[in-house]
Amino acid sequence: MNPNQASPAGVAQHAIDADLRALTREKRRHFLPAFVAWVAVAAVVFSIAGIRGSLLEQPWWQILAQVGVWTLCLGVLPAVGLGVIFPTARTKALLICAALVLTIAGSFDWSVNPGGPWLVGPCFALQTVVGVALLAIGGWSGAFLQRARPAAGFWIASGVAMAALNTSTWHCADTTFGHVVPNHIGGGVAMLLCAAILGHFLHRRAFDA
Amino acid sequence: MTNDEPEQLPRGAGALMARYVDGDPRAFATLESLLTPRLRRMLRRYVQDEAALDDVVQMTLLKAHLARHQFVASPSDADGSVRAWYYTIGRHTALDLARKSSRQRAREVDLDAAGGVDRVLEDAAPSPDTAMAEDEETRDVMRRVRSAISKLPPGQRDVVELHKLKGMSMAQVAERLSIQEGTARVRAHRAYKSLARRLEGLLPALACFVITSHSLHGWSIKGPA
Repeated sequence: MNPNQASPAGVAQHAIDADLRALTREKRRHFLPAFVAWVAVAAVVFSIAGIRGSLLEQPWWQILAQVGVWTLCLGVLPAVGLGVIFPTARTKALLICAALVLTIAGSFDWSVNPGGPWLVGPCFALQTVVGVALLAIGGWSGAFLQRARPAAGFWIASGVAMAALNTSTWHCADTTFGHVVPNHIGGGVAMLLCAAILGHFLHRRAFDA
Repeated sequence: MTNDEPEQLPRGAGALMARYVDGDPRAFATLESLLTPRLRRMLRRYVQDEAALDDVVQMTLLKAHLARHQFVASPSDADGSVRAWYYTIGRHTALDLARKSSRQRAREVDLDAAGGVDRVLEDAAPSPDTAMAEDEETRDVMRRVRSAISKLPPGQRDVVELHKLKGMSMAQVAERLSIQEGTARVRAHRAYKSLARRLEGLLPALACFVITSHSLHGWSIKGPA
């Protein structure tokens, strides 16, 4: 801010700016326990269900993609949904593209083996359990109600879905299309839809009241 | 554009407002830089005095901030909704203060005719409970504001006291303190920033500070053009 522009709106300008920054800090403090709980859910699931033995045998770029997915779903996407960071429209578009590319790159082994038998199995159930737990934490902490636009809840929903999907990816050694599409990707898409619908419902109930 | 037609805001003001309502400080800074000069030009039709005009603009921004969650954008013209929202708050603020100012002047004139202070106070007084509660709250807020001002470095404190509490223009403040006007502005800028930090979470206190300081300014307000 240019000091020569301090007048006419100096006091109001600074007060509002300070108020908005204080609100952001307050949100960060409020949602820190929820973030810790999200990480704890993933850790508990891995300690119970186990991490696949072939995790570090994957190509380096695939491990990198999966780490990217964790970063997005646990940190960046919820932060956008909560209004802790405010990326521009272009950055948001880039984030969506990055989420799609990293999820797809990290989920398959890219072999020609289609696998099979294209049935929904335990991985879908695992993802549902993880997704519901994360969704419950998000719902109870008020994550879907932090921004005026209901579409903002989509970022939280995406975080829930990607975290659930990546849990399966790190747990399950079967990376063939026939297993990953119905179970991992299918579970992620189902969770995304459920989370988005629940988020929209919570937002409407709070804001239309 | 005619004189009666409010000045348009550039395209994208609606999107900025949406981001500001969501809590984005950068969006507010950009929106404020678009709004302030336009608000000033519009409010000049109601307020002559430059210091008073500054106060009305500030009060408009603060009132709009405190009520920002009530803002609803028209789907067909979001930019126009932002303009209408701020201009309406600005106009009401200016007219409210004009009314208060004229009531205060009338009360001063009536004082002699009504047979003394006691009689006038008796007629105008709110209930004792309301008065006590309001008084207590105002005193508390003003105590915090005064305490925050007293903690400013002397150079900054002098500028704030002369500019805000005594209603002097920046040029007058600079002359009184024997400093350059630019220096006075820089000190004011730093002081306001520091006050905002010290009164964090107490936005109504700053609103109160702006509002109460105006009454010491000696307003000169025109009726609507």
